[in-house]
Amino acid sequence: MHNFKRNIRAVCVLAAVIAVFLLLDFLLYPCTFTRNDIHAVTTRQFDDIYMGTSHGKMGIDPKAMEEVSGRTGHNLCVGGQYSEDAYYISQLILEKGYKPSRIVYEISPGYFTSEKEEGNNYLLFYHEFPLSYTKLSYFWDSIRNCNFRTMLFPWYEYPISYELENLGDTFKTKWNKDFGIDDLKSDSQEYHESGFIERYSVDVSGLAMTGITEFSEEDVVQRNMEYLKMLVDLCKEKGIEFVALVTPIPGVSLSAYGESFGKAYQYFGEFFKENDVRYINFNSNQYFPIFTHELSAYTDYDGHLNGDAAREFSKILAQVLDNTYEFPASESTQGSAQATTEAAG
Amino acid sequence: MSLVSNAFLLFVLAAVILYYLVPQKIKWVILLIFSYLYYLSGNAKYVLFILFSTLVTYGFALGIEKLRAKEASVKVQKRLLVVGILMNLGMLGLVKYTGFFVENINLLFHLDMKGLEILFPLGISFFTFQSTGYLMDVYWKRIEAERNIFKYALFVSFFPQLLQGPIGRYERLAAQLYQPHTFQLHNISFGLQRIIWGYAKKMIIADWAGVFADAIWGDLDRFNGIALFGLVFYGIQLYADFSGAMDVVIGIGNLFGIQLDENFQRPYFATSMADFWKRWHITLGEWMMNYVFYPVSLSKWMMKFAKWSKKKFGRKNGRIVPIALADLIVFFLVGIWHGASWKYVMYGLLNGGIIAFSELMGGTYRKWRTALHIKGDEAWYHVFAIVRTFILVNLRWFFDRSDTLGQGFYMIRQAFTHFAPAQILEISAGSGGTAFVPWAILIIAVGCIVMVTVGAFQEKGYHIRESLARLPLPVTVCIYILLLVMIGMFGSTAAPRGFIYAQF
Repeated sequence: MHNFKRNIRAVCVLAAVIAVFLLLDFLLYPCTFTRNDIHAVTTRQFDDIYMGTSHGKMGIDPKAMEEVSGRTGHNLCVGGQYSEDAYYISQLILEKGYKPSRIVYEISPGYFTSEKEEGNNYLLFYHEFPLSYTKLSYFWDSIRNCNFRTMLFPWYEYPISYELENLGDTFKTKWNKDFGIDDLKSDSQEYHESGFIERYSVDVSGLAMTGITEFSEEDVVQRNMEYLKMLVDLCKEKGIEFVALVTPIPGVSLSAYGESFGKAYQYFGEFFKENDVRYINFNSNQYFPIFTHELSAYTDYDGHLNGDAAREFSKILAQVLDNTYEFPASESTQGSAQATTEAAG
Repeated sequence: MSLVSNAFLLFVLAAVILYYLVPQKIKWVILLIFSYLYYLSGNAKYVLFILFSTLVTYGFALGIEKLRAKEASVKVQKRLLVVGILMNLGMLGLVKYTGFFVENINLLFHLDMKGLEILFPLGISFFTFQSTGYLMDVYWKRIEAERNIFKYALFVSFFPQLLQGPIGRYERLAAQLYQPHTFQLHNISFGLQRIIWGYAKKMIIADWAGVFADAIWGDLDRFNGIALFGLVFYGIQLYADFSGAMDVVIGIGNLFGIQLDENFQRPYFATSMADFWKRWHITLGEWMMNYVFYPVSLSKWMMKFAKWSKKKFGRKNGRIVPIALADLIVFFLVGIWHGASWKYVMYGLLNGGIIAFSELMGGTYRKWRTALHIKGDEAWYHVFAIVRTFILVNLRWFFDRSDTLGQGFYMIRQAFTHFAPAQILEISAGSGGTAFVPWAILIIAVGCIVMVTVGAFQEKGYHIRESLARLPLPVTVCIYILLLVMIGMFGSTAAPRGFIYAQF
């Protein structure tokens, strides 16, 4: 009897501790647009899924594409998304039974020469995954080696002042299972239901050139390439068309870092050729002329498109993907990007 | 597998559950299996080193006992002991010091020899010392050699202490490892309490202090006006990091009903350097005392030196000189145990030098105190002694933290010639950036106040852990949860830092 009482007490303590952790997570972990994105792709069927980084998030508008091709899509790109995240997101969508017919993966070379950093949006995707076999695999492969706060207090990645300020809204939004987008708007950008983030135009005359980390094949993190390969193989196995995409960047940036971009594009070009993957690079000879590289279409030198340019780009992309785009008979390659595009082939 | 990782927590959980589920007789086998699994999770190749150390010391200890049983001479036994020690510590020397040795030979003779490229096995400095201590204890008949190789392997590899110590003594640890422990809620509660406290020290205090120390040492030219701050932050980081790790390790031991040796006893309350070394990394200090200081002090050549010294310096001073020399030798070894670098040689010699100097000046100090009518038990004098020791201890950290000996001297110069406190505001404090600097410093300050207060109570003889355990269960649980939540709320948001002593 004594033992029974003691065990019950231990179970109660454990339950209380877990309840406290869950409650804190419910109250403190902010409602991000990734929450909406993951919810959308695990509850609705889409023809196309777009994954990748912030360039894709701000450059691909699935609604604009749908107008052209009639194909539905959702933009799951996020700044900070590495190939391992993309792989597990794809696994999750498949596990939930919403297999797309095409996955377009936007490539940013810098995401292959750096490692995913703990404490910096590491949990952005994992946290939003519903309880599933994929979530467990994701934990085992990636999260298990992180510090235990990722498991017990995932909200630690956000400043506590921010969390407390938004406590009421976070509670209401989660409690009401609200996936509205009204709050996902700021002075510089707004999130759309399709997952696209529209960046408002900026005065580019005042922009300062930002430096980039130069690409070198030796710096490529093998783990990132392994997950990219796994993603490609997964799509082949499940009969999903996989397309690799490089979004356009301003001509001035291409000129300034031509050699680095050239090496990167060549490296990925070879990888995708080896793996029999369609590779659309809007900074290469073939595609360079069909979308503007004027700085005015962008919000920075990194190549994040403004909303209007993104819609234009998306319409062209839809045609290119469906092979309905009519390439002009002869286009002259712009001088500023000559070095890059030649290297990229 | 880092002590703070999800994987480690799950690993410990699995080990504890299995340990209490299996029959009494094979509980120690579970510990052995988990210890080797833990070691293998680092790098499978490392296991060869720990196996070598285990087999050598196991075999030589048995050999010594057999020789003794055959009534072989002490000389023969001693030879076997020396070979065993040389093989065991030779392995440590080979992987740890070859590069340093070759580098200096190259520098001295303008050569271009290449060192051995050997992986540095995790925890090698700890397990080789532990097994060497065992071998010497068998030789000195303090213990009997272990016949069961698997049981002995567990003594060398017990996973919580493998990477950062404490360096266990066979006579205190072995029996605890082999005897079965029944499930006691008290052990679990005590263990969890200690683990959470350790994590709080590491993730709230050490990691935040590390953000500042790393930034300052990482860009000496930019932060040349806050070298002194860098020193203070490093002192805080090192203590909270290492003692935090020990709390976690000892707490995990408690979960299995095993009481590992304490490695810290409020070192910043020390009143002298010698006292400091009785409170800081206690098991290393004890190891050096037992296996280096006494054997050196009682060796034939030291006896001869003592005689010569008495003749040369008189009876009183002549007795102290050999002790001072032994101190210097011990701390030279302590220095190079930390790493193969001249800065560690300097660090060790500085420690030994201060202690040796204190020994030599002991008589003079006593005279001064008498002249100044200081008895030595006044409260103000006690505080003065603590502050004096604290300053001395911290000065040594300049060499410990710097990458090179030259950098250590550079930092000392900067600390006393250039002071620009506002530079601290330029440091990026985790995800909050520079704007979070005042808050991060506040967190460190409050953390230190809590740590010092707890230390002061313990110094006065209060048993805080026991008092906590006596509180009603809901209150205890609330305190644990609160402490855990504090780690989530106030823990460093910068990129996680590994444990400092895990690299030794």
